[in-house]
Amino acid sequence: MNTSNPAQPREHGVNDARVLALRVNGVLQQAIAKPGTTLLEFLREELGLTGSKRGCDLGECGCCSVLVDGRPMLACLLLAADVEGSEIRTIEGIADGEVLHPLQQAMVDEGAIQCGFCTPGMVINGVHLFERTPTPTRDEIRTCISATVCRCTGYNRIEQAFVTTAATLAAGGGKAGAQ
Amino acid sequence: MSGYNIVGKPTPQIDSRDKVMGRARFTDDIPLHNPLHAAILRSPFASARILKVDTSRAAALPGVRGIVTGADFRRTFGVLVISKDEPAMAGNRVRYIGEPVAAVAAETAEIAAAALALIEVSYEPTEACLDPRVALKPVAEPLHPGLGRDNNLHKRVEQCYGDPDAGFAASPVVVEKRFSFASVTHAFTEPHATQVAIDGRGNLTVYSATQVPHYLHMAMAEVLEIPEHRIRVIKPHLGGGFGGKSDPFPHEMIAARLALQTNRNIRLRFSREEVFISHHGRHPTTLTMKLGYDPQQGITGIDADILIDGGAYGSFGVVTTYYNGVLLQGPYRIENLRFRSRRVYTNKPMCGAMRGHGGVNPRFAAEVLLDMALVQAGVDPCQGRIDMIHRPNTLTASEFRITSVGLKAGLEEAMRRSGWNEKYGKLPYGKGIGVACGFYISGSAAHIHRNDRPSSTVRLTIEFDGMVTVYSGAADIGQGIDTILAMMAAEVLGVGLDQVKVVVADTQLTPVDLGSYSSRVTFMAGNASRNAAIRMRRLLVAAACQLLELPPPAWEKPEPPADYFRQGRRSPDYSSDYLGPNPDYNDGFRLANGQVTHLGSGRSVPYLDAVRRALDGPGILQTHGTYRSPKLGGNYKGAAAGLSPTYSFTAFIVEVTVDPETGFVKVDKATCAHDCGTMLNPLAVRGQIEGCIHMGLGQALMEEIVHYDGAVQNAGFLEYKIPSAFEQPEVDLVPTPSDETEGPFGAKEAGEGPLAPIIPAIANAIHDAVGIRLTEVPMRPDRVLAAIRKAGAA
Amino acid sequence: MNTQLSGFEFERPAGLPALRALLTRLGREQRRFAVAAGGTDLMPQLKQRLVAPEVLVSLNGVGELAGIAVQDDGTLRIGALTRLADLVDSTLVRQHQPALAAAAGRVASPQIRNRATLGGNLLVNNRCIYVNQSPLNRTVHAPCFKVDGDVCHIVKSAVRGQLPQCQARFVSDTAPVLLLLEARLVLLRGRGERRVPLRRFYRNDGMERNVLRPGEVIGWIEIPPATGLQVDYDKLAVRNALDFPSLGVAVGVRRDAAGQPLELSVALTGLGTHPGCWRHAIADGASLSKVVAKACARAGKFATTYQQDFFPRDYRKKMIGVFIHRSLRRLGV
Ligand SMILES: Cc1cc2nc3c(=O)[nH]c(=O)nc-3n(C[C@H](O)[C@H](O)[C@H](O)COP(=O)(O)OP(=O)(O)OC[C@H]3O[C@@H](n4cnc5c(N)ncnc54)[C@H](O)[C@@H]3O)c2cc1C
Ligand code: FES
Ligand code: FES
Repeated sequence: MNTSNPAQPREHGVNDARVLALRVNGVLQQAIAKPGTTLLEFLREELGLTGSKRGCDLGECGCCSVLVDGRPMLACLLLAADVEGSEIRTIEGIADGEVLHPLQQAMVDEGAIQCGFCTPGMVINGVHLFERTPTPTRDEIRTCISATVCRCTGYNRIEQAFVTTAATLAAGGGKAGAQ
Repeated sequence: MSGYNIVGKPTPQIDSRDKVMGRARFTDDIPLHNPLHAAILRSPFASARILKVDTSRAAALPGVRGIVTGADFRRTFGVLVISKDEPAMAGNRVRYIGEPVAAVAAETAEIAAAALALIEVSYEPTEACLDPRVALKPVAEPLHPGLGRDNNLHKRVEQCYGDPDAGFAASPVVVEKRFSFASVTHAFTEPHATQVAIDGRGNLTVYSATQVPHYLHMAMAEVLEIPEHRIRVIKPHLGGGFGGKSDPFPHEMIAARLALQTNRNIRLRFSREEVFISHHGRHPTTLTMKLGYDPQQGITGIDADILIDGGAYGSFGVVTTYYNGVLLQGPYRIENLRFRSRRVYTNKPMCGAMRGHGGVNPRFAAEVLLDMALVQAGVDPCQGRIDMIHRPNTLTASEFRITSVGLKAGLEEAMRRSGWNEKYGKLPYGKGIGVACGFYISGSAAHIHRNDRPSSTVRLTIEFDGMVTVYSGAADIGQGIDTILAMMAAEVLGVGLDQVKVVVADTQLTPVDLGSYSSRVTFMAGNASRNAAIRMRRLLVAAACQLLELPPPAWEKPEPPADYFRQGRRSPDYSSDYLGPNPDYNDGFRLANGQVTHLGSGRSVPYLDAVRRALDGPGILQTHGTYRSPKLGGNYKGAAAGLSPTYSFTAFIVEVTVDPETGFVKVDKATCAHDCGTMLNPLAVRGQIEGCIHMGLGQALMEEIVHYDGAVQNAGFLEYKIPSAFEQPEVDLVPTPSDETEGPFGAKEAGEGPLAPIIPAIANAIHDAVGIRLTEVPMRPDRVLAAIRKAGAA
Repeated sequence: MNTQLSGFEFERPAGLPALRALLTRLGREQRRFAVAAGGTDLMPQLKQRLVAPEVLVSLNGVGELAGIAVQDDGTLRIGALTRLADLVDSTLVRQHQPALAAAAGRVASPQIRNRATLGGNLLVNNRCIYVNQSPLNRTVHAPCFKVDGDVCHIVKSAVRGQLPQCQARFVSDTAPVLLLLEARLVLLRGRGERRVPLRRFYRNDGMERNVLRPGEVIGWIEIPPATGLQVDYDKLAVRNALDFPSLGVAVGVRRDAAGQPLELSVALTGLGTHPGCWRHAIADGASLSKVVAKACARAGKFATTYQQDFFPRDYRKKMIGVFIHRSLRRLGV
């Protein structure tokens, strides 16, 4: 019995790659993208922004979350060409220089980070949560966290970091929209 | 912890800022110069002969630079010396669906994928062995004919201590049940990845997501048939392991072979499906266990018959086969233990070590049976357990040396805090509370590779600027060992954590540590780091004495504990590993807040002055520390299995809500008493325990690898169900201290032990809630519901 | 599995006229194309090589198709491109059709809902444990009908041409609620449009899943005003996140002005090749519990359920009645 991989490569034109311009973390970035280049590939491979992680590339883990026009989305399920004109924010654009976003600081302080592979995804989703809802309920926090798979922490510390962040923000510390 | 500056304080991981800002580099994040992209062609057959691999069309594709097949590898490998049965690439036969058959390196990932499609492999399918029971029957062609057997048995272990039959005969209560456990997998978030850089002299630098850089280094040299000194293995930031990255892997060999073949840098990364296919997870297990109980004596006997399904290759399987039996010797006293444990090969992805390795499934059986026995005997499940817990400083049936045990007080406290007495047996239908205990090794006392070298060695330097650097081969896999190593040095040397750097897991720069498995690193590498720091401290104190014009302190050589040298060790000077119990430095100085202070006179010199003075003569300030396990255990075959310098102990009290209409189980709260000795970093201990709860909960209620004709059908996070934030319970950690004189500052393991008991604790709580005993794991809602209906009908 | 995408052209028409023109042209040129809205269903299929279009047409430049409005007659009109997250947050939807917001809120995860659209959710591909797999896995088990093969791994006796050809199950979380709300779809093709009631939209097959014609897109979803109708939706899933419904049950109760129940309706997802939907009048003086029992029995007989999912099939069937009763309790019946 002979087998070869069923997905036969198709020929495609040489002109299918083009320069794509995206605003990433406030900077207009230009790089080559093919029609099939995902936003995740564009960020990681073309721009070297490796903070967004590729945990599954199928929309099942949340590690690749980025903010597209302020909302968390899965970069592995977006074609770069399909978000042209949008404002992208990645984990690299969350801290204000060396000043961490209150959620980032809380993640560090509360021990919410073990291997750290899910961390960027957690932070991206959390930043959005706090921009919308500075005092989220526990259920809102869980909904937000459940969007990303973490295998190390059991989520308790992460949840705690979110609770702490809410308290920090309520006390007027840090600014949720730090950019 | 009084008296410590650093130890015992909740400490965020030293690299957590890098992680939270996205700048920590994991293997696939590292930019190599102009790499080729590698991709692996995998077998679609569970069992087949490979008649021919034709790579000519692939080789002709523009952009393809290298191709390897089974013909490029002559030697098999395996993490255990006793079962090196795995080829880096299938040669003339494939043994599981997904086994690597060929690989390509090309200028782009796209070309590599296209090239794979052009490789033609002629297979002749042969009958696959998928059922572990069938594997015990004679077959024409076993998976591994080299073993000389006519069936697919890999390893059989039979041991008997005491006389279980006599124990059962004299017991008022004897219970017996058959249990079955699905296979579960690590499901770490970072997929396997390897990058290999090659320099102009043919030296390889291998960046790999591995828990065992040292073993990988050695295996790679062997498989590639090149000298070890041409290889350097570096473990970058690693996104979770849990045992799933604790073997050398075929893809690592393949990437390196491609680098040698093409003289180019190679980048290889797995898809999530490939991670599932590579597996190495917990063995699917069926086991029958019988347990005798007498309220006066405790457990009077255990007899267990265990069959574990190993998949296609050995991995850690021989150890697993032993662990399934010998880890029944705790946490309770038991004199009469007999087990027959068998591991078989089947044509499925191989199983290996996974968090709680070998101890998890038999623990479930034992704790559920014990619960039944206690209920039958009318003994409170908590109190009954407390009465049987090992006493400190005892030997078990197979001569495990039990040192410190803090569990008794811990479980008593957990009973109080969880309101056990008010709740057990008294909650309304559907609500339940249950308990289970466990114990786990804190590093294997025996080496995988027989040699007289220490298990862990740490080098420590201080530079002119006062920066302390800890060099260790230990692999931080997310558990935070880098932080622990730094804390050890900072504590002993009286500097802040910000003044300690770690250089880790780089086989060129760091001395050998055997790796992150068997819960050994905190205990062993932690000890080595502490010992290196103690030696450094002596240099600083001597320098301070010079500056203060005091006579240098006379260090007495501390006496190792009595059994340290038991049964005569061959190598001469092991005693140099032993630097005394904690935290006795024997030097009359206090090092803290940047000062080296003579306690007698109260005079002090700045730390930096002491450093510079110490540098004056030698020009370099460098010490080392080691850890080596005391010689333990008996002299018979298999006596080494499960031996550890110390053991952790855990108890869980779990509260659940069972929905009697749907069978859904919600774990509401877990109260955990985990005796890990001193909590070096309470934040990390908490994280480990909560992580264990998550993983145990998953195995208990939802996780299971599903095969169809030998293929993994749920090879992704959508269909392999790991619990989400919603399923995680509230956690209450009960302080459970013990006095572990051999651990670094009194510490024992915390990363694996808490996993096993959470699962039977859930089962026992389900029984308290709705009166059913489940023997199939995961305890899925449909199984719970069926049992409830059956119980209702009866 | 190589998840890199290649081999297609990408088009993102700006505005509805451009979209209509493009689809017409692609149809004329007989190009194989796929339409992507949020892409959260399509992208994984592209990566798994389950679909292989020559041209990928993104709807995301067609702003006309996003948005929620109430028309003069009280009809709620939702653009097919409306993101599920916007649906969940919309005060209009929460006010008029809270059950739709609730069902939309049960889809996948927050990040996916931020991108996923209502139109896409109604068209989410049917799923099967043997087809939603990598090319390697599909090679192992021989390709099935849904991927141009010759077998069905679920019904081994199935032969080509006999409907239902494919047992892949319907999984949309929003469809059951919209069925009970008697939603209509506004379908656009060429320069024209037509309205199709949702209840006539789906077909009993995992491959030929609906009556959408080539080149036709969903433009809007219209929900007529329904006084006195209350709907509840709940899904059976292992986890409270990510999971597709192993079973989804929507239950509706229509009452008269005095609050007396007039009609009980039930719709299912996750079980068969298409959603089931039934209405049971509650005649004057009829015993409610009898009607409920009838509704449960009817729903329970709806589809042959197959082992395609985490849960065994008989369990999923058993849960139908349980879910209906629970919904009724929540609806105060
Ligand atoms: C991890 C994961 C979990 C998921 N869980 C769920 C779940 O629990 N419940 C659930 O229902 N879904 C789930 N989904 C599937 C999917 O995310 C949702 O169904 C989503 O609503 C699809 O919308 P979309 O806009 O992204 O669709 P797309 O992927 O853009 O499109 C889906 C299909 O509809 C077609 N299409 C889309 N819009 C139109 C239009 N206007 N006109 C004509 N054709 C159109 C596309 O061509 C495609 O065939 C999940 C997906 C993932 C990756
Ligand atoms: S990588 Fe995008 S969701 Fe996993
Ligand atoms: S910290 Fe490791 S996956 Fe979350």
